[in-house]
Amino acid sequence: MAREQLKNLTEPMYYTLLALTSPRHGYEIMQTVEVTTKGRVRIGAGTLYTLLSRFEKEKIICRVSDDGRRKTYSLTEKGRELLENEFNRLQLLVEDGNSFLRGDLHG
Amino acid sequence: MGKLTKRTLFMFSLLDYKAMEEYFEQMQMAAQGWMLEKIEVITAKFRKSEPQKLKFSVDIFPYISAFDSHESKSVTEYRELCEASGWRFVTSSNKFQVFYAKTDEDPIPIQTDSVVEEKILRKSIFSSEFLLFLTFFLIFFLSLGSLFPFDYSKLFTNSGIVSTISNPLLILPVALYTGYYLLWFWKAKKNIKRGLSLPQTSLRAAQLRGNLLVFFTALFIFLYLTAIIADALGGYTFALYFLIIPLSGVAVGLWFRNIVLNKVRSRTKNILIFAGAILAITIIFTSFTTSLIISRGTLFEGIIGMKNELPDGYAASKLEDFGLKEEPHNTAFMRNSSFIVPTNYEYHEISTEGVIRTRYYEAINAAIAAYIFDGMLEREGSLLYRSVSAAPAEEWNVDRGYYLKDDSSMLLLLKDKLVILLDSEFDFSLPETIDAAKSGLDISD
Repeated sequence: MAREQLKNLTEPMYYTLLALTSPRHGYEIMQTVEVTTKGRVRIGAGTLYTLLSRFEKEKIICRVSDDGRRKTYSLTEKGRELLENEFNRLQLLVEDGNSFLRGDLHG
Repeated sequence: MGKLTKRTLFMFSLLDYKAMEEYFEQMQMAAQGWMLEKIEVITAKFRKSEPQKLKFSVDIFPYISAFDSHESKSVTEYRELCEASGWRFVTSSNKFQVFYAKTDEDPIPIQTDSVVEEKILRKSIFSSEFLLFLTFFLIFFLSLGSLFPFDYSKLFTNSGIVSTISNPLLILPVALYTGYYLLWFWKAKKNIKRGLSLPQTSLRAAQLRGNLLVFFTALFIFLYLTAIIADALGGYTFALYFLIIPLSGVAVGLWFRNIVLNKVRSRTKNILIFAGAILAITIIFTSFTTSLIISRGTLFEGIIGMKNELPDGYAASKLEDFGLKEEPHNTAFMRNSSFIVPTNYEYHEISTEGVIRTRYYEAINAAIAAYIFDGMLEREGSLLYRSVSAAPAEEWNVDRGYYLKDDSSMLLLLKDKLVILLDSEFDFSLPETIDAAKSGLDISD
């Protein structure tokens, strides 16, 4: 069930995982996502907390340090794979879009 | 100078979290400016402050239950994340987490994904309030079993009458809340499909519902207390004993809440403490009750309102009415009273020569008396070693009468508002016993 839900990532999920390609703690993730998307995607603290708990349970991310106050997370092997798959899927979508919309389609 | 703090009734349910924000903002903007300080069991405490425009955010933290400290590691991490994003933490009450920000600060909302938000709500409600509703419905359907067919003996005490009518009464607010929840989740699903935000409950609707709940609860408590007090005054002191159960329940609940809030412990530890307390109370209560019943001492008799003699003004058959002169070695009298059957009591005498027991019911009108009479005839007449045969009503000077045993040693009579059951070893079909019984029961004329 949960795997099935994670097959297609929502935007907040996708950007959270992107941010975790290098170790970051919660607030850093929020900032990274906001800066990367120029404010288009904003992730609230409550939403992020839920996403992180769920990712951690699914072993998509793991804690890399926990100094008592701040937890830093990073992608696991499984998470990296999932993100790569999603990235490839999105790239396919864009390529197909290019062929139709930007006139690359021959025949 | 006015008061510095103020308490208000606080009856919001989980799904009212958006209405709570509106409420806190209104209190803050009021002429005086009341800032939320603390949320307690059914009240909220506010502190006087400058009136200013603040933005509140009430969020639900689903990973906390009644068995968790409000300062557990996970909830502190969550709050720190919220504070890092610009929200200031005010207070929490179980799953509710209250934050505020100044209106010009514009921090990122705590929940930005309605799919995630709906899941949080569903998880929280199905693990708490919905279970409560289900329990209520279960109790309701079980209690219907005792209503159909209706047990006439419930009419003999006020607490019996109240408990009979209060169950259907209590299901109203529960059904109201359940309906509101189901409707909300249905709307939420529709909104999510259309990419809209989750449905919001208005403050007015939430407060109206909260007030209804308070009204029903207050009515329920009032009816019960009145019934129990009226029962105790009418001789059924045992009703007071039933107060012990809800009172100890509330006491344990409050004590446990304190225990959970005052020290950070693991959930398992808290559950064990709670289970231990419930077990201890159950053991104390049952062993106390059992020993009380076994002892049959004066305390027991005092609690159930039993007396050793027939008080003046109560009609009942005695052994001496039938010519048995020996002093009975055991006599007992117990009286109940309800507003439907104002006088109802039982009296028995036992000696080595014989036994006689009178059960006497005087209802407020003849129709109710007839109803009780029919109920008793059906129940008592269908027991083992019983057989029903008509008794001569004219000779007994009653409206209707039946012998309930082959040897006519048990008798059920209906006379206007009176229902009387006599149980003995005499043959109540003999003319001299009929006369003796009639004079003892005061139904000769």
